[in-house]
Amino acid sequence: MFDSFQSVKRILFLFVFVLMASGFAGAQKRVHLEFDHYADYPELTQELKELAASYPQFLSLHSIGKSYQGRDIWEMTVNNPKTGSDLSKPAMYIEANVHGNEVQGGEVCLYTIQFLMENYGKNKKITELVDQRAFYILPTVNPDGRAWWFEHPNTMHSSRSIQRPWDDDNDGLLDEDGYDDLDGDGEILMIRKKVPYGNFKQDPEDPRIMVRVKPGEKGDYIFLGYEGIDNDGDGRINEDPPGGYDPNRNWPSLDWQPNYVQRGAGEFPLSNPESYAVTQFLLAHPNIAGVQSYHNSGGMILRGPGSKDVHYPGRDIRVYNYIGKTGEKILPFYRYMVIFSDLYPARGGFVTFTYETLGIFSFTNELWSSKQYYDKTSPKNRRNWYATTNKDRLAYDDLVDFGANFVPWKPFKHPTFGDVELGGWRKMTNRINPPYMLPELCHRNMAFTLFHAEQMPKISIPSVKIKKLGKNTYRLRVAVANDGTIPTISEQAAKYHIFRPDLLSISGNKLKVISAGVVVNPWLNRVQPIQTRVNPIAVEKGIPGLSESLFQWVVVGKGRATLVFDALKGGKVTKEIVLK
Amino acid sequence: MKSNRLFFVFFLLFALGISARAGINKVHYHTNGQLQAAFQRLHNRFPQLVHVKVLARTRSGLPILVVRLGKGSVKKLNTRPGILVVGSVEGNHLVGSEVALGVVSRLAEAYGHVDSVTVLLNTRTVYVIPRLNPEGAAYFFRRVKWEHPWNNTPTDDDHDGLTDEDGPEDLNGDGFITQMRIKAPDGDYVADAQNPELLRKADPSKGEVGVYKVYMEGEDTDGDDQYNEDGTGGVNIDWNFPQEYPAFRVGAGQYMESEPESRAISKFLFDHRTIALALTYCLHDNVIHPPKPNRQSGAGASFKTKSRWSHFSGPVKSVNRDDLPFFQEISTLYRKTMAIPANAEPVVADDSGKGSLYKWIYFQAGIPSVATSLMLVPEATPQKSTNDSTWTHHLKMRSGKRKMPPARQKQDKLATDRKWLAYFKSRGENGFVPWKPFRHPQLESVEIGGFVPFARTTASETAIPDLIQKQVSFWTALLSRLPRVAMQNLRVQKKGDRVYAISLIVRNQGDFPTATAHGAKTRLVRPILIKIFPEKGTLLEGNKIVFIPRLLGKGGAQKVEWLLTAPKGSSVIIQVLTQNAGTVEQKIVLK
Repeated sequence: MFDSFQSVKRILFLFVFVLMASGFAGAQKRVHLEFDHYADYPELTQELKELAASYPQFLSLHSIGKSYQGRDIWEMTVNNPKTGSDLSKPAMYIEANVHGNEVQGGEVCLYTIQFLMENYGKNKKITELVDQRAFYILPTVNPDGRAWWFEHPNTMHSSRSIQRPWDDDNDGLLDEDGYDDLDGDGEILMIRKKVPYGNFKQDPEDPRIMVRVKPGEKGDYIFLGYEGIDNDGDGRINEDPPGGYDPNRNWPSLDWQPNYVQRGAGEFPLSNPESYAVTQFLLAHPNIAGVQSYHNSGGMILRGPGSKDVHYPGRDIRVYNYIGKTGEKILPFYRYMVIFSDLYPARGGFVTFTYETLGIFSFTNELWSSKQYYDKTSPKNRRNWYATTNKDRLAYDDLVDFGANFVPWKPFKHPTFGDVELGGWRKMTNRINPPYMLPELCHRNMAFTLFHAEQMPKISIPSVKIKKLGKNTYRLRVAVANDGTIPTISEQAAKYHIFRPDLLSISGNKLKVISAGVVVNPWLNRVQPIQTRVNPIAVEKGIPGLSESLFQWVVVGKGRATLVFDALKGGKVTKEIVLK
Repeated sequence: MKSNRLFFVFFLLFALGISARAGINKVHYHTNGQLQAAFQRLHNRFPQLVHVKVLARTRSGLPILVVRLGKGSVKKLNTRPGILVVGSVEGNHLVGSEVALGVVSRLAEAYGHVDSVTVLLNTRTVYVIPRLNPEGAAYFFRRVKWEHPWNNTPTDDDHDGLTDEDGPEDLNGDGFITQMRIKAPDGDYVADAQNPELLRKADPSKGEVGVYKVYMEGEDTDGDDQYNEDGTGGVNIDWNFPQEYPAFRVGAGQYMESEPESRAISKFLFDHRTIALALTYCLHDNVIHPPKPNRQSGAGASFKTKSRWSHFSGPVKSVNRDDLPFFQEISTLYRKTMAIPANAEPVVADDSGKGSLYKWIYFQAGIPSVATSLMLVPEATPQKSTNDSTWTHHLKMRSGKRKMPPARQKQDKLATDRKWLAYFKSRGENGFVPWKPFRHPQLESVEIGGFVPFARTTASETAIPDLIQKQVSFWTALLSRLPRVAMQNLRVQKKGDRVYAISLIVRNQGDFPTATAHGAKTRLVRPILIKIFPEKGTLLEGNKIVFIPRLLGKGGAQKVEWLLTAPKGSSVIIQVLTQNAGTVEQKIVLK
């Protein structure tokens, strides 16, 4: 009885649903994505289109340019137009997959879009975020790289590059000798060969693992690199695979250096079509006040500088530290680090460009740490992000992944090397988390980025004190407050005049500004006069985080007047006053 | 002898004399449109020799031209070794455009008549970007002359949230944007003791008290109590390149390579790797004063970090020590071809060359880079010769006393201005507007005066024909000295049955090296590749591809050997391949 009632209800519900989906004024079925696998480029494109169609009132999908091979670089704008255009709000820029093989950031981006949409109107914080901020989300800024990694036999590392040819071996030929899937199993494996005298031997406990021989010990194996043959007959193997750029070294940060100093840098800053398109987008959206880039792997929350040549101002570092340290709580297994000193020097990086050159607080997250296979966060391992051993990983693969990701060594007849063995890790491991861990990875990283987005400037004019000095002459003291942790203008931007100052203006019928000043101390009446333009006042250092700045005008006029505070990265607030 | 040198200075710059009244403002340089039309006419006259294309457009849509000179189709020309000549990088330096136009025209006319030119244009390509900064150059042709090195990209120079809101005005209507000085108690300038027309900053350490405030000629258009602090544009293209990029300097652009002009030429150089040398006409010089030895030569300072990856090197900022003889050779050639007096000083911009095109070409495009402004500062009293004082002299010193060369004497900043003033005066030329009182609408009582725009940076029209003639020789000298590889002493020795030893010598027959030491280090000039293709059999010794990073000029050579097993009567093909020094192939039959 109960059962049949349930099924009738279900049928009825289905009926109504089908009716709604097909009949009512364009009402559309809302997609719900499951994060149980990784999406290749066509699927990613499809899912973005479905999301955009599901929430047309908030989402708009744009192609900001084409990759070298002509794929669209997708950008999803998340904005509530009822609370203003996206350009009028502080915006969070979120991107992923600049390295072709570092794919799971794309999933974090999709997850973020879906989470914001599904929780809008349900969760107060999310609703506020969507109403007050705009989000620009680019799940892959290297579509060719993503496509290449999914569609072709690859290792977990091949390749970071964009798919633009590069002459790695300087022989005048481009990309002429890459990896080859010799046994046709869809994987690029390692080649090992048994020899009378080698520098490796099998681990006595687990013959799948190769260990380097100690001094005084005789080995019986050598490694011959990844699966491949000498395609161009030059006597070398796999020396010029497709690509050869590091797309995260092509940005005009302050420390950009050419290829001979910084490997992968490319010809000149923004010489790649992808980085150029992204930069054009950034420049066209000066409201971007926060930047997040997702990479893999190692479990890191990274900030610049990328080299010792660049120094960040102290006040900005304090803001960075606050967000980064909070990130360590949101993301267990992740550590907040500085790129050049804690990881490695990397010149011309994206987040160093967006902070150093564009003045925007920017983080890179290295998604997923293989420490998460087991809890390897003992104090001893804390600094050591490559802590997991091959043995640990293999045990995990055996016990938890049911041997899905390690290909046992198998004999193979190589055209050049003769009898060899092929084996090793598939690409979908070690740098990529197991799919069942994906939702948590997406959620926690999103939470960190939304925390960052929450810290962006929130400006208001809480008070205007009017004092009558004489006939139609008034002294105004205007307070401008910032309830975000991030200043409206970073110290870097203020120091180097990176973008325009905030502007505080007053207008009214026949209103005339006689003088303007910055109130240093309201109780002692200390006011620093402004010696250049008095209206609008150019607030060169912006409004610092969680603080209030006071400005003073002496004006002649009466009646209604309008005050506007306009911050490039904090939005615009208006206040009406009456002078009487 | 002395008078001879003096004569040369004048001859070079203002050779045919210029009437006192003519002034710099009457010079008929080519506007952007006229320049394009002139090259187009050349193409129409010599369709097989001169190819004109639009390389890119500026933000305001002006075309940047690239001209190819050489016999054959564009496709064919792109495969030949060549040189690149660039003019008008700064908007206030136009002489390069005119000289480039003149030289292209002379060479095209000489083709088929002068054998040496015919040979060069049959085997080499000359790429010319005659005016890299057309937006800046356009200011020269305006009714009111304003020296404007920048392009027209809108900028907020005074950081007040507005772009280009307060530029200069020609208040006294003389057609020049000069300077205003106003007597003020808080002034920071004083009149120069030797030339009271010239102003310099007061030096408080010498007890000097400032008398004047100095502004550019014009009003406070936007009412912020500042004068002409944010005029039209822009970015100086010659500060926008990523070599020692002067980040955040007003006029250097938002970031490296932010301008269409700089991107266009950078892309062009990387798309045309057959270019073996670049000659830039700009307000910089490395020919009259070639680069000198430097303690850090060639070595990027390495640095230490806490990281495992501490082997990363840092930026390279000085010319590689091994390349100094090459630059000295170019300098000697230039001084001889252009008849440069020993004590001559080039006209150069008052900056360090940070972010400049010519430095970028050497350091980051990897090819030899030659820069000259084509102009000399007039010398009133010739001084003692310093001809041999450059690097050979310093090397002698180094080997003797291990002493580093002294820095070139740091000159009084006004010294050059004094020379110009004396020069204009002696020739009765209108190069300096004398200070005259003017009633300024805001500042009230001011004086307007100063150097005439372009007078010191743009050669007079009458000097140009001579410059062209000498540059024809310089271009052809460069072209004929380019590296050229040859395969010599190809030997096959039968070592046993089916075993042959093959050896050969690869030699650079050109005067210039196949790559500078720095160019080889950057890997931007590909190594010389020697490839061997046996029809049958296999190599017993030696590599299928031999890489030679570079060969020095004037006969630099290297031997290459192989041991081969192959049947008698089979053939072997050997290729020598280079990026910009030609290609050689030879087929041998094993006997």
